[in-house]
Amino acid sequence: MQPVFAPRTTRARVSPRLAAALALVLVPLALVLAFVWAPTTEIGLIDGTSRMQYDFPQKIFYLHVPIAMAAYLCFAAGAWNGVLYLLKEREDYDVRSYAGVHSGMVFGTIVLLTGSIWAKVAWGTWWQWQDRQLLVFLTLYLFYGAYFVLRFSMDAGRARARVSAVYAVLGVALVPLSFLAIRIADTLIHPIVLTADGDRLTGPMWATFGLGVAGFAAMAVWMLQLETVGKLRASRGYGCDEERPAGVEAPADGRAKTLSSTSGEAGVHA
Amino acid sequence: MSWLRTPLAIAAHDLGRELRRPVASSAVLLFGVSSLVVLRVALAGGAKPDDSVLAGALWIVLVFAALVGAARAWAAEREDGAFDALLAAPASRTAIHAGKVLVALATTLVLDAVLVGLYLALFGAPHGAGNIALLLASVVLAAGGFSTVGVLVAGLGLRARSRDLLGPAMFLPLALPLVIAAVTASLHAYGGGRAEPGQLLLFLAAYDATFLVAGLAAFPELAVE
Amino acid sequence: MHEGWEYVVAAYAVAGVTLGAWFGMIATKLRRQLGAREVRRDG
Repeated sequence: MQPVFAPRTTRARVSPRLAAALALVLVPLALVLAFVWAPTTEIGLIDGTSRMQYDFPQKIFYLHVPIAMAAYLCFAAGAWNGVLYLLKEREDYDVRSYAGVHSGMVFGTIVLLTGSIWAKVAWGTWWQWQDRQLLVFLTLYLFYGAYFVLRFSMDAGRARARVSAVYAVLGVALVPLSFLAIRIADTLIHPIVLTADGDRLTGPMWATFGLGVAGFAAMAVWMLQLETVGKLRASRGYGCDEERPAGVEAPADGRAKTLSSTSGEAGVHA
Repeated sequence: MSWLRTPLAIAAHDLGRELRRPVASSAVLLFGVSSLVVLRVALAGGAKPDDSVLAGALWIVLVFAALVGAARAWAAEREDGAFDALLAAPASRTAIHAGKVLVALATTLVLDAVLVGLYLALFGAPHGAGNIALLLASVVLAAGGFSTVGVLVAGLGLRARSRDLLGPAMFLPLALPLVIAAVTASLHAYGGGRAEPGQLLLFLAAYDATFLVAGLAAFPELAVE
Repeated sequence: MHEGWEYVVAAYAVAGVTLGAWFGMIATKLRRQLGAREVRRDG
């Protein structure tokens, strides 16, 4: 029987077993090190006049920032597979692109929630409109939220796959445009974050942070693979009907048997 | 200029129909005007509104008017089933998209002219010719952005079932960078903010160009027989 | 106790619960799909 959590994927560039192993080792390791090894330093707000109320909540960053990078990675995978779909029109690229956007939204939800908790403790408010990165991320999050509405208001098939792919790719234009707009319109002070001027972030802090980034990136790749496999199988009629194109019957026995070794299954091309 | 022939023909056709029976544009116009009145009453009542309210009110109305207008980009073709006929016509799809953007741009500019005029009367104009020019320039450039994004979004939702809900959900996040820059320009015109107006206008132009190119590239990809 | 610990706990809990629920859902889905395949192969 095929392993459930590390499906064989002939096309995957990263082995799902490797991604799973890296995620399961590196993420707990980094988060434990964040508390037992990385020192807690004083955090100044960037205007230089004030200090944060408490220093300990900086531990949130070892979670928040790597997950934000994972979210961007998933959205990028969604856009990239959208491009590949438009070029090659193979079903698995459509599913991969969808899995990318889907996974990005889940990571993105965590990013917004943990970021909001950070904002509350650092600035005393749940949301800081002056912060550029928050606004860019929120824009992208809202944009990709509409992806699901678009996708599920169309019947499965080529038209839906093409429209979804184009939409996923459009996000690539949105990120630099929002960054630029906010930067140019920037009339406000930026009370920011972990001050990144070298001497404040010590070696152990960087190392812990780096492990976290690697771990959550591996987790993103793994989840993308799992989502892709699940959605591909669903679209071929296994187990549940949500994704099966109208008029397509569940596959016959023969096809069912060979599915695990078909070339289209799973893996990310990110 | 032969590459402009199809877009211009489409624009002339659509605008001609709109001029003969201006049902849709009157509805959008009425929507815009009444929301301006609602905003004026809701935001400031009898008092004089402050700068950020002034800048914000204008863009709330323009964005929502553009939203309502954008939903109509392919409405006629959908209603009489002419969309497939249009795609089957011996015209490049890029040109068809360009034509629709021209139509949207023309109607948005007319609509915005009325709304901005009314807005200046209801909320008060900025001081000095330079500031008024800045306000108008940002409105014109934003109209370009609303048209390119609006037609692109309408094209994306063309075959979707819940089109009416889908349009705003896709349009508003895409329009956010535009609104940020445009509001800042208006704020500047009313004497607030420290941003550089030239940069803001340049950004608006770049935004228009980005989504014009994106739409021209995307539309042929969307049209599946 | 470190000051501000409750925010840290809240952030880690939010992330843990969300990731856990996500993983649980996809795992259930994959298991069910494999089960459906086994049944089909046997029948």
